[in-house]
Amino acid sequence: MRHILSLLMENETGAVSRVSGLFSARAYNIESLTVAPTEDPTVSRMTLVTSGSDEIIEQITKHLNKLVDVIKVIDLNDSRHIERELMLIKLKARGENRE
Amino acid sequence: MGKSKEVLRGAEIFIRALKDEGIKHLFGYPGGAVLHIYDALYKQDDVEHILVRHEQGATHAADAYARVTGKPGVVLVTSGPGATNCVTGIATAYMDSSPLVVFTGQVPTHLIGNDAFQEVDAVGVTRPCVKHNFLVKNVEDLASTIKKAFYVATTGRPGPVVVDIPKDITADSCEYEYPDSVDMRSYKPVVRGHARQMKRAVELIASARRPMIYSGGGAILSNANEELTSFTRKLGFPITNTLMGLGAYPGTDKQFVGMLGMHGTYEANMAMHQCDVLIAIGARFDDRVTGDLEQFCPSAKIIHIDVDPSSISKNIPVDIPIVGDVKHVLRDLSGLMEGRKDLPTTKDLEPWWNQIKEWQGIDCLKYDRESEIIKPQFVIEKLYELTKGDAYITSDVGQHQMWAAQYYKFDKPRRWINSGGLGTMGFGLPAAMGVKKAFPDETVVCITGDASIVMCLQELSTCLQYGIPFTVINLNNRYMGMVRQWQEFFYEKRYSHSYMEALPDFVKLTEAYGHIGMRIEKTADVESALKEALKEKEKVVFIDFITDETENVYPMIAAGKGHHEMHLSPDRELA
Repeated sequence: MRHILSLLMENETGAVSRVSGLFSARAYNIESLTVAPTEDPTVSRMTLVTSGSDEIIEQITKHLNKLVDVIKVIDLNDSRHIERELMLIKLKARGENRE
Repeated sequence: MGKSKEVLRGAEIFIRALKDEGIKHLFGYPGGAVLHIYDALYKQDDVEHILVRHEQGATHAADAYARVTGKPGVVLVTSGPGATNCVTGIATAYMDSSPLVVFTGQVPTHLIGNDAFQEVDAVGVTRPCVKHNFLVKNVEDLASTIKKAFYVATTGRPGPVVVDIPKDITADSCEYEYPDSVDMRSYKPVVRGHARQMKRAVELIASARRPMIYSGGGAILSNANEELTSFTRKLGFPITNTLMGLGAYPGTDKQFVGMLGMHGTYEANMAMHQCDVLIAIGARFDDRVTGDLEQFCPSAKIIHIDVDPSSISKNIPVDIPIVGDVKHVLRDLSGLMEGRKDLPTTKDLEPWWNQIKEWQGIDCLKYDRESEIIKPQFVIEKLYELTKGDAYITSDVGQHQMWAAQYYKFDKPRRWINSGGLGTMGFGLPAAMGVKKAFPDETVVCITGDASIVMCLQELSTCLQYGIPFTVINLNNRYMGMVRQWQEFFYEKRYSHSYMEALPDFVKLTEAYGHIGMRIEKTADVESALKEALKEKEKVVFIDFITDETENVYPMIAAGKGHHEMHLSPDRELA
């Protein structure tokens, strides 16, 4: 099942590498990932989408919590949430095709 | 009132921080990136540096030092190959949750990422096998980073921490202040168990009629041997230990049924298979212990006490998980059990114990004690006798390691020092060095094999330089024993590259390193050789025991089999 995990972590170099390293080391899959600083510049929020059975998601969440850089992990699937996707499409359009 | 703080160079801050952290010994090897630190080391006496001959030796020695003392082991190496030579030792500490702090030099900050001389991304290379790592970017952060490193390495589930220090940081200066305490918002290990879970656990314990206590390395890391012993004795339950947990409960006690798992005793494995309540304490249900997961403890309800939530329900779903420090949880559980009248009585447990005694009657560890060719098990038993079970034993990896675990009964924790999780050959000799450095007045013995011992043999020089004596027992069967055993059982005796050709003359080799060597080929000579070796107080004594190469480790649970499907030695029938 598809899960959206939202993490708060220390905004340090290597923090993102640790999370992706954790996933690749255990052969878990990251379907999508985004990360940016919060209103507190020392803290970043990372939102990632992964999938797996309940046991796998439980293991992933526990391992993420174990990372020293990670402050908090929330599974957005646990509560009602609004999801929005943005797709950027690049079109080739020249001359008269631009209308 | 404001104390004016000293301005120190980074190298001096490093030394001062170690001193303020209470560190007395440091294992290391110099190089370009750490020359400023080595200069500062030269000018002081508070921290003793032990120069090894290979950085891997430094990591194993510091790891063993940590395992026997409970204090963090500290390593200092240079950049590039210095750091990469530490990776095996760091992974060894990681798999066994040992508190190790490894300081690696790094090229100056402006050269990082430039493919500079002796540059390697130490943080990147070690990331998968450390609890955490740090790259220091300013000298102002150095002291607090060191404090954090020790805090992370030694709390919660311990583990190795790497601190990468660029050379220019060690030359820069700033005011020195070593924090009294550290508070990391992103790292807060749980200590006390959940009250409701513990109540549920006690209810389940009260209903048990075929219980089993399964305790592992976590009970030792938590310094919980007293709590474990009184908890177990009060309940009168049988107890088994993992390879890493040996000694947490007295091995000579009648409630101890032996080690469990792939090479565990018949009675321990059968009891695991038939128990109705399993209490797992500081153990992680490793594959060497569980055998086939589908057949593991088929009728048991499981209580699991562990400080690491990710270990709980990782391989086997458990019924009552309790996250917390083993020492505290056992204390709280014992408190909850106080005054309860419904705990299982001796009479309630009598049928279970009778069954266990029947299994013990098989005498699964029996071997031919009359043999003239030296049996490796005999050497271990004699060693146990002569040291009265009180020595510090380090080991390498393979058959000799299993025999040491089976035949040397450990009554105390932190006496059995071996690489269980990673299974690193070469660990034994530098580990013995680290143990003896921590406890110079104790008897230390390294049990090894002809394949493992040559991997870190160069540390014999370190032992001579610093006057570190111990006994090395080489169970020489001229094979990579455990590999040979698997090839005999599962590959129809195709001994592919497991025969050790071109073995050195170990006696001459030991003497070349300045120590004492002996070769023993007859069973009748074993006892006197051991006695003589154990008397030596200045040098390493290397005893090359020429043993029976046909001996295999029994019992054995083959891969994919359950606890009840053990191979026993060919000269007996399975009940």
